[in-house]
Amino acid sequence: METMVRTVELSKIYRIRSEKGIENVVALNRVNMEISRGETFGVIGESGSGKTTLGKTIMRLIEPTGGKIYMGDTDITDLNEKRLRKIRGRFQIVFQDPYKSLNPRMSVGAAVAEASTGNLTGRQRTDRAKELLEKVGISSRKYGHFPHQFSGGERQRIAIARALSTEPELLVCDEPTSNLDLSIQAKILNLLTDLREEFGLTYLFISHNLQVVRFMADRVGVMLKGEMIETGPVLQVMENPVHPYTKRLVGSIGICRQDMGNREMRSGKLPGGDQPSLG
Amino acid sequence: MKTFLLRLREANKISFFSLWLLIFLYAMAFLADFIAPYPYDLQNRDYALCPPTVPRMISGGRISRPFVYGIKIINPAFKQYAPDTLATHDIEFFRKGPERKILGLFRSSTYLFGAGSGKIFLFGTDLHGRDVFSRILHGARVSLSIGVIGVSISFVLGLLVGGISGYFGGRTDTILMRLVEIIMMFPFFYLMLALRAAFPPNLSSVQVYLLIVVILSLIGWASLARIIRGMVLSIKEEEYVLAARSLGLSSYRIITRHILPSTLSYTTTALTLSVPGYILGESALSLLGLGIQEPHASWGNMLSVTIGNLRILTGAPWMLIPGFFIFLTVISFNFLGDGIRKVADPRNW
Amino acid sequence: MEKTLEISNLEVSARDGKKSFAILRGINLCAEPNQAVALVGESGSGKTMTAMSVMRLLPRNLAVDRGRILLRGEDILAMSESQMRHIRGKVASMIFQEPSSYLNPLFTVGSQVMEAVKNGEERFEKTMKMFEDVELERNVYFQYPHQLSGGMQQRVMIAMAMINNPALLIADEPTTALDVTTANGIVLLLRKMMDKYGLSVLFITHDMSLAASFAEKIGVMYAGRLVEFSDAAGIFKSPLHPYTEKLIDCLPERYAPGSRIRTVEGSVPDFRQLPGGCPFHLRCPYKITLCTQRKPGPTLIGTTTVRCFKYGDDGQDS
Repeated sequence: METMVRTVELSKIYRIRSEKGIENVVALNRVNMEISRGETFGVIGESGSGKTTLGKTIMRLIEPTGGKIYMGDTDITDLNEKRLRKIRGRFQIVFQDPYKSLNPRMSVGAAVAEASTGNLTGRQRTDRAKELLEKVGISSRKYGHFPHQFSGGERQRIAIARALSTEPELLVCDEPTSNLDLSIQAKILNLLTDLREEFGLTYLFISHNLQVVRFMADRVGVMLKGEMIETGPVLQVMENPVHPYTKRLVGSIGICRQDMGNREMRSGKLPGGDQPSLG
Repeated sequence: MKTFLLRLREANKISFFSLWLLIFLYAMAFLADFIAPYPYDLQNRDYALCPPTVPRMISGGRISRPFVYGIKIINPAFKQYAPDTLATHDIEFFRKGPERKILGLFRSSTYLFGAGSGKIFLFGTDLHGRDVFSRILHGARVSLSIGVIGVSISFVLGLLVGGISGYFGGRTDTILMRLVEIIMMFPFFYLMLALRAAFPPNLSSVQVYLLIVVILSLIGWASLARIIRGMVLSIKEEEYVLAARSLGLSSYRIITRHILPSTLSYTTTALTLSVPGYILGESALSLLGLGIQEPHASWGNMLSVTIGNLRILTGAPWMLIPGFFIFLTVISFNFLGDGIRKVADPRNW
Repeated sequence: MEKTLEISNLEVSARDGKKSFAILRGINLCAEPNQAVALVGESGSGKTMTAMSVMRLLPRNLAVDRGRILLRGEDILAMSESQMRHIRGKVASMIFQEPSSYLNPLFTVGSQVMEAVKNGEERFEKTMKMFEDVELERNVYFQYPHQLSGGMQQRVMIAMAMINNPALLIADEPTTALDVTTANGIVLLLRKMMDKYGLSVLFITHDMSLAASFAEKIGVMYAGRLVEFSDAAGIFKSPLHPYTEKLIDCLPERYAPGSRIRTVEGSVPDFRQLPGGCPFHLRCPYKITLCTQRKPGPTLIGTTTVRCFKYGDDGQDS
């Protein structure tokens, strides 16, 4: 199958000045992964595991300190900002918090219209933005409204419409439903599924919610302390995890999220254990 | 524009009122030649430090046309005056008087008002017997415009330097910020003095005026630039800026459409709040005799005469009226800034 | 046995200028000793406001109009503010979603826990024992909040809440900000504290599955009303209220990968513009004309109380 994104030994090390001198904080440690065109690749891990850094580094929103990123056949690791800008439209990102990812001073229509690709007249841009808004389920009559006039779920839809405005092939979804209510999450997940079919999108789907990743992804990568410790088809990883950490992670949903009647947790003896701090 | 006014009225009644007050003050300054009953430099030697003349409407228990009493000189040495109730002068509107140039453009001999053959000093007179009211109108031209022009210059400089410094960071940032720090390091007042001293002392009042504006704004932009840089630094980490970058927008567009508008709530406030600084700065220069020179009027140099002069403070309090106008302008700008900040944010619509 | 918490017919309204609108209506729930009751619902459903009513810590513009809240049989709504101070922390205490914003960064966490212990008692020993209970090492006592992970901070909060041995602990989304494995530890700890001290927990969460696995009773809230109050054991198998049904339907774990999730039409209504009749009728697939006209009263089916005309029309609207 055709490769959409590939990373080779991708690393990001932050140098942080502290009292003890300069410390190196490893956010990404030699991550190798490959996403095929049309596939949804899930990334799971706990906070601080480097999943968001991975998404942003692939987007070149964070500069890697080592390794390579390939979009299709193009090596984008060292492209300068000018050449990068020309191909940015091919990969887009949807952030976790739709309250932060939309400019509060810009009407949502303008936000969606602003990056429309191609040589379009102002009128055509507006029409296209309206069309995209309708596509994600926002009435085009709300073109001139501002972000604060929308609910969280609607804002996330607008952020998705904006990402689609450059006709991307890859969409990085960085915890797109973590800040949303259950019923809204369901609608956004449905929308993402629909868009994937309609536009032939490839997703890099980052989430800490294992159930959401199980539902959305074809393959999954598990991250721990900047390393991708396990990858594989999603059902295989969820049902037969290999790495001990994955076992614990998968085991933990068993406890909290099993259907009713299970009172084992009362006894306090459980797989997964009780470890308050993890990285 | 209309929606802006409506929103301002909705958001904050006081700022709406302040806006109209400022428009009124600026209109008065613009029409000073026409409204002022006397030229700013006309000296009435016999009437130095004369208290304000009160326009009256009631004569002998009946309402009459507005008039003023004549002024009786009781003791010229001690500047004691009293209204001469026997001599009444009707206040005439659109009366003819000595011809003068209006706005430096066309000649006219029509005055808005005057008191016939008598004198009318609405705000009294100063040490040289010049009409304080007329001088306030003329002085308003200097004092009200100096703030606006000065702020515009320092605003553009501050926004540009702060924006570039914050967005691009790195070496650009280091160099620009050191420059800002060097400027800020100088004590404001002495820098102002030094700059003024660097220029020849015998300049015309227009030149002095322009010079003051430039001096003040060259000092003023530094702190604004520094604050804007700080804001840009934090705003550029916002997710909507990251999103704009990932959309492949140009740096120019990101700065002008996404970053600088977000500093707006601060900059509009800072802007209106720094207008008073310019008015007061001009006053300070004038106070030291380095600003607008006599006989030209500005609120600052009118006020400077009173400083340290106890006799004026106790005997001729009307000389402090320019101070009241400074106060009025400053507070109006503050309220206006407050209102604009609210209106500029779509979340408050 | 005396119930730890009993809320009956609680009504809370908000005042905005001269207008007043309903925030909570007809809340009836109770918690036995050593029982966990979960309040589930989407944001803006009134879960936190219910908890705040129990602590008598409602925001200024909100006020209790009617109803009774009994804590171990005592009516707290009739109490004075000074009497309330003997309730908070001692009979009922509370933990929150973001422990870091409730801990003072300038003091060691141990001193903050100890602060709540009355003078004269063996304060340090008592605090140390509590640290042991919440499974924190002794040296954590001398650490500052920023040196602790989110899970450990939440444990400190639990220690602080439990130090005076209250009968009721209100936990407002205590695990939402935490990772799955850490959250597990917190939930297990809460259960341990319940068993050890006979504590009751009012557990507020938007996570249906977590609520069902942790609590004995679940109250589902929608637009300020408790639409269903039932045993946790049965709720996934036989939800009664249409909203509960829809909420469970939204869980992605109930679907095969790649399929479509059945969603609820519309969104949670604004408190200022609640529809007439049953607040859920705009989104309800079982809507009948009656739903648009009147608010359904509580109907008892087995051990479940539900407010829906689907199950008859016994109760009068409160």
